[in-house]
Amino acid sequence: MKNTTLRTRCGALVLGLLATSIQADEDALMQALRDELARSVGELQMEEMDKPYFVAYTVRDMERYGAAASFGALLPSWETRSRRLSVEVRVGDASFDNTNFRSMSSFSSGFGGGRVLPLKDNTVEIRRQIWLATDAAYKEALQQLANKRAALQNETRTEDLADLAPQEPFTYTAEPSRNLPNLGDIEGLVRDLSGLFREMPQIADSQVSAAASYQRTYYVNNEGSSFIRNDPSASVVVRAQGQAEDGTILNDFLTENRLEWDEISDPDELAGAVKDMGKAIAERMGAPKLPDRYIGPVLFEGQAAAELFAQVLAHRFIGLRMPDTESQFSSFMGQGQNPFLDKLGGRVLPRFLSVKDDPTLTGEDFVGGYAVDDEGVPASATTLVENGILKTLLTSRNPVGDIEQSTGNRRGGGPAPSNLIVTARRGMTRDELADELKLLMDEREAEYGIVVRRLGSPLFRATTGSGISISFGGPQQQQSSVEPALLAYKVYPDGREELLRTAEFAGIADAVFKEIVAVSDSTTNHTFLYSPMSFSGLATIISFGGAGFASSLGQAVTV
Amino acid sequence: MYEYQTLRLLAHAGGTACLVVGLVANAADEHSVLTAMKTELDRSMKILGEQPVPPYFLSYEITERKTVSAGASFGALTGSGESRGRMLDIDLRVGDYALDNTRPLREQNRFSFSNFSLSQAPVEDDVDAIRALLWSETDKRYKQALEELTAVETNVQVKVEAEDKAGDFSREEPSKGVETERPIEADLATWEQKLERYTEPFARYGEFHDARATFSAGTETRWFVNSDGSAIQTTETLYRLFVSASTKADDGMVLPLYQSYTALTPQGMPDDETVARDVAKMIDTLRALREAPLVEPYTGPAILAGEASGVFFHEILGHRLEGHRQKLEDEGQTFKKLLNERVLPENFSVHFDPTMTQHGGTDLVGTYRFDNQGIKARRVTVIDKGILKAFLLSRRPIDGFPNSNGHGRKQAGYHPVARQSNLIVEVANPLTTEELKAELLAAIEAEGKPFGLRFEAIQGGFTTTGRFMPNSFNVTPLVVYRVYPDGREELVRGVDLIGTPLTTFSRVAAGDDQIAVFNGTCGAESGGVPVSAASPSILVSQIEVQKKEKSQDRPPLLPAPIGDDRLGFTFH
Repeated sequence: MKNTTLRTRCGALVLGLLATSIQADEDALMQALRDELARSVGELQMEEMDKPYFVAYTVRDMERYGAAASFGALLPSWETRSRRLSVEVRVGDASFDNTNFRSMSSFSSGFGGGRVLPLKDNTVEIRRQIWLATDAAYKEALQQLANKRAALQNETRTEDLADLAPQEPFTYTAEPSRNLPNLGDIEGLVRDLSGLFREMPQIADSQVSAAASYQRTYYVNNEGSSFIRNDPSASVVVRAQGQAEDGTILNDFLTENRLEWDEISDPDELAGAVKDMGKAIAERMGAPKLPDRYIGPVLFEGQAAAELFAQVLAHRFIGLRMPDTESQFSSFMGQGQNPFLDKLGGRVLPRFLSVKDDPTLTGEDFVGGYAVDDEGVPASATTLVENGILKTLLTSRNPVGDIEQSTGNRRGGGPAPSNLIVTARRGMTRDELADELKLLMDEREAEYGIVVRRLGSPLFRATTGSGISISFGGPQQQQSSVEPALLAYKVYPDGREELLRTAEFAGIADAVFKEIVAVSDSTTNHTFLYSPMSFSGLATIISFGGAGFASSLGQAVTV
Repeated sequence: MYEYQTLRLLAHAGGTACLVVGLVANAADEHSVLTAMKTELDRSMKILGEQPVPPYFLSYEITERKTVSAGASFGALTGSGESRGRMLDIDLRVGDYALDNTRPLREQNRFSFSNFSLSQAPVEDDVDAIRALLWSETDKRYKQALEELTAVETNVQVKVEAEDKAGDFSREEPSKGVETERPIEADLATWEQKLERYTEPFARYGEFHDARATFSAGTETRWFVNSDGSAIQTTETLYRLFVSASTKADDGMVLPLYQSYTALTPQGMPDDETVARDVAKMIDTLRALREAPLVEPYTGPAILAGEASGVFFHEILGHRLEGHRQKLEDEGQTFKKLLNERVLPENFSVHFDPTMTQHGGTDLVGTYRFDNQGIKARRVTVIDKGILKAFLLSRRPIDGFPNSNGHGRKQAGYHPVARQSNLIVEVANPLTTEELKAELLAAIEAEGKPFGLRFEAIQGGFTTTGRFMPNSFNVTPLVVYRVYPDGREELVRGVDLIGTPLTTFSRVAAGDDQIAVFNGTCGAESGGVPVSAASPSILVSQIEVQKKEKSQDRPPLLPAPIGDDRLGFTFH
């Protein structure tokens, strides 16, 4: 609720030390983790209760700089350095332990377990915090296991899944690669970019922010896995909002997510993009508003195609397990099961499309890549959809459905995509796609078709005015909400295009993706922030660019 | 409106607070931010004045908060940094002084109009950017105010006539005052070392699960303009050191203790010897508390030492004298009909005095020069020789009190309501400490009780003033002694002081001559504001204590990892 700048002095202090000293500090930290791990596994036991069979420690040492500005003047900047410990303690055994269970008490006691560690490598103090956190986590785990056993005595479980998938030990150490800009550089960029809005009277509200961070993540578990990983990130976000004569609020945004600050586009390029965005908003203000509903073919191009995949399908590829619950909860928790779990081996996309997740791709274009996941599982490519058939889902070490092994996709609180790559067996050129769209219009005797070039993002939602409503799928289908289009056009049979102020979607069902008629031969590399409740991290999606894909909406039903 | 509101007072454990420092504001320079605000306010009133429903009042307040702070735990630095931010608050009113858009709706969805709105302002003195923000926010607020007014007018029509006939806003004279800005005077690197030194002694023991010290130094500059013609610029500063530690008894009870030092200037901070002595005392008290016996629920006579007494008055009296609580139809209105009646013994008087910066050598954090509605601070005597005389008032009038007395306060981002400042309890012809204890022993004997209680250090307290929940209070003590008829004292643990306001108030019997000050942050519907309570020790002929809420977790199973020879420590 409060705006604060946090400038951390210790960051500078530690960073001023020599590399050898950093090495010594890291060794001391890892040693402290291992020493307490040994005590926890070897000695921690309540009388006549289970000992922990699995203990893992993660330390996230994060340094972050950021700034924001409005109309050319800086808002509070931030500079933070933090070091946080999280602890995982499991009691029971891999086939049945304290996890995958939710009860009244687990909601009230919270999901804590995080602790702040000292910034300097004071070994005694680090060990004290690990000791206290482990003790609290162990007691909570015992309680959870007892509650789970009690709750399940009265019920037959529908599936008898293990709670922790086996995993070969793996170790990995990345060389430190801190490469952060000065706060002044970030401040300069946001001040300059936001100053451009002073020349745009159509923009009533705007903000530019940018940040760069560097995190070293340290992990150890008692199975012998350990890693030290670098998790850098850099971003620029521009948001602007204008109001049409009739009060409709029109927003737009511009984001760039990279791993390193050096990889952010140069200021002139960004300035050009900001000016274009201002112009686009102004043009949409004058564009016609269509209150009627549209049912028919839509061509999603470039960003819109990738963002549509990200908003609807990315979540479907997650193998998230529904926990067992106390009986009074089961009605709440019964919902939320991923419908794709029942579609393994079935068709989810047209025959000519395949999808894989590949965290081993790294570098500028693949911000979702990593070498090892948050449970110490090495990264590897996973084929999710092959020729339209769903093969598997992305998992952590928490077995789900028939998927008993981790795909190495644990990121934060659960599995998440890394780099999703959509490939097609036959792609069309831009002209061929336009012809295909025309063909679909002719079939339906439609007066016009719709082309969507930019989709809104759930992260940059604004109060939207009314626009046309496009309806996909029937009410019996599982639907996902899709953000309104920021750039949508009517396309007439003669190829003429007419800009629309906005276009909203009435909900898009999974089945719509099977109705994809054609895709382009070119691709778009699009970065999005995948953030379900438990995790917020970057993922990359590669899908069709330049032209995109057209979707026929044969079964489209009224809302 | 605030049936579920719990009003909380806590020692300064976190957050920021602020103090007026500049006593005279001569020839100070008006800041460009203030000038920009004046210009934009005039422009907004002129443009919106041409609308069919023009605003009748508009004010802008920009609060700039700068803080440097550091924290250490068990001798190791955990964080350190500085922060700076500016918040904009707008009060825009449509309707008129008698009835406007801010009137609380009766029996309506209580979350429909939030009491908090965040509006971040540029931290740079860029006049154009600030004016751009003021205009876009004024426009939003104006549209919202029109909607609110419609809702208020409908609500007034469909509900029974309100008991309180006073209007929604008082007419006041404009205030002017420009004070020079003051910098923060603190070397963070020095304080980082001090904090590590102060908390290091706790690390020698395995039984402390938490031991930390935080230092913060902050300035809060406020620029305020309104359409009455007020223009104010003030800077308030606060320096604060807070040392806290906790241990756990074998039965799972968490036992916290703290030492707080608050001052207007860096010179007011304690020296290292003082802190070292206090830390040593904290360690001894905490270790003694682990072994101290539990007290069962009890009623009987007790002495509340200065700080405990101050918080007691803050909770049971202060909150119930806040003006809007006499007006809102869902408030308990405990004292509303007791005006000009006797509520305390004749030798007790109570004042709220935001103009005082010190009492008995201790700085008072509840001081300010102008409140958040631009009204000049003044001393308000609420109880004069035992007789209730006044309430605390913002610009929301109540029957019989048409004007503000400078207590409209808030945290940046909230709407102001009547809040407390420096609560000063005065006892004429006080007893000495020994005489007060003799009175306690006499009361124990008279009532045939096995013992009485003496409350020393406290953490804070809270109270509920509504009609829906029981109208009660709770004061949370950290250090309590059992006092036996022979005068012997024994440290005990495990109780909270509770009661209902009128009953407890009628049992206040006597006070001594030892004034103590509690400085804290008071949380209520207009956010957290710094307040002080200064009081002598008092004797209450009957108090009630209930069992403290207690953690069910056992102390850690393994010993602390500090006895390891390799680490060069010995285990105590």
